[in-house]
Amino acid sequence: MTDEGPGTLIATGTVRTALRAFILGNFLFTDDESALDDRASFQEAHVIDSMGMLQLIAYVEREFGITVQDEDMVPENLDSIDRLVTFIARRKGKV
Amino acid sequence: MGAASLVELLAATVDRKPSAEALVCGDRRVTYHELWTRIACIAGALDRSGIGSGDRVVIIAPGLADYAASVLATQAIGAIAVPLSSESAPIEVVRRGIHCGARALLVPARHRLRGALAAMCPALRLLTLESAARAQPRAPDGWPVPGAHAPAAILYTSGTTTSPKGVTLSHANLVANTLAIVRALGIEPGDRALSPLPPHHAYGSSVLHTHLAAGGTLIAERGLMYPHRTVQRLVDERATTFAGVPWMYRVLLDRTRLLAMHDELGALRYVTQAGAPMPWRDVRRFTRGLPGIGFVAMYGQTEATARLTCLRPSEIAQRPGSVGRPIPGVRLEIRRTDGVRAAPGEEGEVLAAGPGVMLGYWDDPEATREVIVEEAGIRWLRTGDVGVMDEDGFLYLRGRRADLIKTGGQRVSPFEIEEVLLQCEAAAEAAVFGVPDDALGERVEAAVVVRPGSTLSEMELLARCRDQLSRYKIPARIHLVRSLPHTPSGKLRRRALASLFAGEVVT
Repeated sequence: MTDEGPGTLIATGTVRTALRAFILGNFLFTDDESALDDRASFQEAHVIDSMGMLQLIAYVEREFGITVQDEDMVPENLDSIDRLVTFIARRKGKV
Repeated sequence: MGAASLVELLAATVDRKPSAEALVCGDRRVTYHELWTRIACIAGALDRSGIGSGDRVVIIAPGLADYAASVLATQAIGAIAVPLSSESAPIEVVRRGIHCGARALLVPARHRLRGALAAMCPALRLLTLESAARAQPRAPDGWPVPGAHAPAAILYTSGTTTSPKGVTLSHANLVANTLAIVRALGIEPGDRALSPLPPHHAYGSSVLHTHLAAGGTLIAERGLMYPHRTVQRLVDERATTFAGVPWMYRVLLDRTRLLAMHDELGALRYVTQAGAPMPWRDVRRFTRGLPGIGFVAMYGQTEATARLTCLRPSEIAQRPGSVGRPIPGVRLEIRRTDGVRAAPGEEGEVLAAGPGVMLGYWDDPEATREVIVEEAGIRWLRTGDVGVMDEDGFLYLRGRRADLIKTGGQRVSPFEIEEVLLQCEAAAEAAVFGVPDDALGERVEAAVVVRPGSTLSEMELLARCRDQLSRYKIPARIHLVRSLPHTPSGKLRRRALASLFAGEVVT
């Protein structure tokens, strides 16, 4: 979804747009932007299940050139668009 | 024990130890007495809504306590529980509801689909879990005693090959399979099972029933989204058993410190694995890394209530790749394509008989006749799985009949080739499937997911196959892919891959 390759610094807005497009397209099967609230918990809103989380992590690692360590796999980092954007920015050294 | 229903099995536990912990759901701890009270309240609510014997009640309950109480309350008044996933789309719920002729829907008040469901199903009684749980209870002495062979539950299968079907199970099916598994695994009142399995699937439902029947505790884990938290919960809750399917074990092995936590997991007696054959590589990693924790491989089918076989921890080293022998009361046979019973080591379809074999598919006598065969008074279930049995009666699965590849007149098991591909450490997951081919009928192809941070080429994988496989089993192509398609329960959808790659020309 992004022009930038892995390992490059990516603007936070681009990360958000790419994540939203991935989740809308792969888990909610819609391009309706209003279907996903950036603050909503994926788990509570039943947006993503366990298998989906693995897909999401693989996408984040591939698309943004970061490694999601075992200890990173917690809801504080991964359970909403807002949390993911913050986590990716932190991992890439840019908040 | 002579219990006629799961409710009677539970009643015995409630009498013995009412204040013991039955369920742990997040921070909530539900005792047997509390569970029993909730069942009586929901039974009262259903009763006052005019729901009675033989009526179908669709249940969507994300929390385990609500789920267990709703299913058992429905069965307590003689109605038939139809549990569905809380992830179901409205149209799926409506289709299932129409298919089974549902009279009532039990859903959470805050369920995102509640409004849509009410609009789409105006004739149904819509009950919320919250109001039902507060309703005036119906006393257990007013509950009807169900006929042993009366339907108790309809479980819609996720289906790897065909559209979902409503597996209809009787009270006797559920009681027999539950007690057979309690015996086979030696489940005790002190056992505390942690399960990330969805309870509306046969395996997850079986873990629930067996622990309630034995007087144990079931600790609910909502999936495996945050795997190292799940492992920590095993430690914190002093879980004595864990139930999972192969992909869950792979995640725990790959993405957590599980193998370094032997001492912390001192309470864990054993783990069970079912749902699909688990790659031997992963079984070996687990058993070598955690030698004090028993690994129990099992095999089952929703159509047989839940589980059919069990390979004990002491047997696993001598029988790599086996799913074990039948649990008490179950008979298994391997039949060749000509219907003759196969000799040991000879491949054929797995047939199962016993008190767990379903009544049939709901409202689908034709589909039922395709899988239930009566011979000399025995109802045999054609499982659709292909396998071989050794001289000692241990079963080895080769794949779903529909997944077997027929190439150049030879039959090829996808499992065998997947095992070889997974010997490459950099291969995270592999799927082998048949693609239509003018010359061969089908040609073998594979799709492999490479571990993040690793490199792996098609040539390396092919070299491994050439070392270990007959020529006709070597994939014509190996696709390196980012992910593989699975059913909601985590089974590989090999036929979807076959369709995806069918149009590609091999040069």
